[in-house]
Amino acid sequence: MTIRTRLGLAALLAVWPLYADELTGADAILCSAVEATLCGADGECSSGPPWSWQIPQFLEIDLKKKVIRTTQASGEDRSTPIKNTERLDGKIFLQGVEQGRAFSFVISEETGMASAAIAADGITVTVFAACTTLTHR
Amino acid sequence: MNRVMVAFAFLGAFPVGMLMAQQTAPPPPAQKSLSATLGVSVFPAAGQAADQQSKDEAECYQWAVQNTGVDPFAAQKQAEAAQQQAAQQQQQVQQATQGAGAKGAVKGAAAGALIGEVANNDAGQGAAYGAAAGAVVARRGAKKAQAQTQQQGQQQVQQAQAATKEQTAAFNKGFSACLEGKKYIAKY
Repeated sequence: MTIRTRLGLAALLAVWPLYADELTGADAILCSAVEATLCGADGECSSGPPWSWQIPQFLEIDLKKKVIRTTQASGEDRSTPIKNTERLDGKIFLQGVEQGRAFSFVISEETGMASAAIAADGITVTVFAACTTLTHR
Repeated sequence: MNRVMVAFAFLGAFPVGMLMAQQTAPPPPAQKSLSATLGVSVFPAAGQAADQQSKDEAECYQWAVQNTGVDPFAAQKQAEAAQQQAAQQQQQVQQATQGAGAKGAVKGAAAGALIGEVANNDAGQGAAYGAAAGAVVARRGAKKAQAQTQQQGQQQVQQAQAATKEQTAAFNKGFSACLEGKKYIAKY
């Protein structure tokens, strides 16, 4: 983990109550990716900011429409369909497949913290994010 | 390294032509004999003089080359060349490995769908997004290639060394048989 990402994580934790949120019952969620780590099959890993791995800084998760997309402000206009969604024991579980990549999200409704894993052939990416409810769009 | 190999190393660049010339111009007494160079101990059982022994050894060298098809000095040179080639291959792969991260980073740049483009290293567009992912994948591939090349190089060297040893044994057998025919006792 680089100094930059540590500082980012520390800053996020410092403003934790303002940033992550209670998500119970929310149908639209906004997540901010904090840290990403990419690992190869030989165990070689590299950590860095999300954009290092082409992960958008902000993600909108629409649980009703079952889609994850970039924010309008980002200008990227990228989206991915969610194949499975499930709410269980205070957690939101999301799963999907796109372009040879399988992804799983686990989001805590209580804390708003999210963990995501993306698996491709010979490579995995793990992402940690903080989420809050999204009221518009 | 066995005695024969040490002897070969000692005369690695020794022209075979000079060995042949020993037939007409025997080496001075202080010079290492042909048999000693080949790692063969020769005793003149019939009391032959040193210059006669040198002539006989040179004749037997030629005879053994013709009859076994092995020239130990040439075989040694081939083994050295194989070793050198393996070392060069390893060096080339190491250099390629060092550059692989940067090349992979360029290849890894891409843009596109959301999850499908995360850590994408397949496309070739200029964005910096997937660069680091491409670098990790490229380094991994290069490391694998380097390990394979090193293994192949080691195998080639081992095979060359084994072949040289076998050829040297065959030659020494012929060389000794020839000398025994000339009333010497030869051991290798």
